[in-house]
Amino acid sequence: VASTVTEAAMTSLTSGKLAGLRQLRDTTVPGYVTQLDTVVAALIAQTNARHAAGFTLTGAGGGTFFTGTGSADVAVNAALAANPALVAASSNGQPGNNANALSIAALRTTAVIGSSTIDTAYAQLVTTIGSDALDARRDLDNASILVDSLEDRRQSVSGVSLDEEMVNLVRFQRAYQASSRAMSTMDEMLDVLINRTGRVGL
Amino acid sequence: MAMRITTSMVQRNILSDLNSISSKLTRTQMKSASGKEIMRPSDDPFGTAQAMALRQSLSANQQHQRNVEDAMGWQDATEQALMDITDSVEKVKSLLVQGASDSLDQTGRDAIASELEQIIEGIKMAANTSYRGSYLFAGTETSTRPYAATSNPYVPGDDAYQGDEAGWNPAVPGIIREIGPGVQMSINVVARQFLGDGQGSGDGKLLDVMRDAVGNLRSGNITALRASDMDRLEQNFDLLLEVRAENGAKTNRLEAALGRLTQLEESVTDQLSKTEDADIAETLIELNSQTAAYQAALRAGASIVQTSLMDFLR
Repeated sequence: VASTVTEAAMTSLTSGKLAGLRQLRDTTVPGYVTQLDTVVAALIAQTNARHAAGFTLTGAGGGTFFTGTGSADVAVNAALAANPALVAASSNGQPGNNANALSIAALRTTAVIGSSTIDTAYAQLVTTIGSDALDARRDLDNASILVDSLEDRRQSVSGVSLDEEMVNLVRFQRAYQASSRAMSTMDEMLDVLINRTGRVGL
Repeated sequence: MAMRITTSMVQRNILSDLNSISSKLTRTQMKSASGKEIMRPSDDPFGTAQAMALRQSLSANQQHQRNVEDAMGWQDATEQALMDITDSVEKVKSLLVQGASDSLDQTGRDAIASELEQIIEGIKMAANTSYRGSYLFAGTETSTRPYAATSNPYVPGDDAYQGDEAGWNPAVPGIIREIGPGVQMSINVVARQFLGDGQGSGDGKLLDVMRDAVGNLRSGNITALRASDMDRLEQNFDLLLEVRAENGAKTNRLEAALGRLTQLEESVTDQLSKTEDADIAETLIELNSQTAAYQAALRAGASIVQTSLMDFLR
């Protein structure tokens, strides 16, 4: 009978491959995505706030620079990508003024996510993922060595050694040969006893 | 008691050893093929963070270099225009000396006045120089010609400056280039600073003085020419030289900044290479020794797996 395993039944899993895959899907990767979203959301919010404070080449106020809310849908505003004149580089509407562009560029060294800049926050995420993967690999190595040595112990007791079997084979063969020899010796003795007894002096 | 060694144990151990050697070999092969020590963040999380920081400062450095080069182009164009203006003013000085001479008659003075008017137009043309589509001397009004076309003959007000004072007035940021981390520099020169707004503006700047001189030449007022115009011209000439010197000093500063940035780029690139590039010699030696170990393991494995007591029993 085919049975369906429900999600609820799976929550009781605490170890094993299935539990590991579930943890990866439900906790680990979404955690990384949340962290990445924090970085991207800060980038969007900070850039847009500074961009909106400036003026475009035509003297109009700066609009949205990035659309979207997180890592999944972030994009440069399509209108702006099509017409770079809409970039609000000026802080006072003069075409030669680039103070607002400089202010946006200064985001690179400004702490906006706690005490981290956008760059360092992203680098932290990459480092976290890297060291998590390294930990997992190390754990795998350790566990494999443990499994191997236990398996060795088990095999040492329950396994088959060809050499041992061959030795036994030879031993039992010799024993068999010895018994056959004993039997044929007995047979000869009986032969003497039965067929040749009482015929002394014939 | 010694551990009992069974056939499957031997086979399993040989297999797992072969696996571990061949996975090391694969990694070394990838390292030598890509030339990178760090191929994934998990290869060296700390090194990855370092490499990212280095790459960031490298890209910032390259942008600063582009900024400096753009600023230098701007400065060169400015210097060229200022040189033209200086030459013209020197010419005007000698013309005024000539015009103030008692021996010259009015016809001669009129001729000098006409020549002076042409020179003024020439100076305004130099002040209207544009670089990559931006007027150099108009402050941040880079799309406005600092001195608009004038009517002929001259009407007072024609020489009015059309730009703004950004960069000259300390309260208004001029055209700024970031030439280093947090180091900003204003690169523009405002024409109003030394040319002024022309006759009648009363600012005593070059255009004002020269227009006055033209008027005095035409009316034959040599006294005013000698008493006031020549002195004021001399003062303005000094101011012009000052502006040029300042601009030249900015160019020197840019050159020094560029030298520093190039040096920094070299050392950061070097550091980046040390962090994430594989040492080729070391990698190749590693590759050789691992290949040898792999082959030895294969050979040993093959002879151990195949033999048993069976081979020696008849």
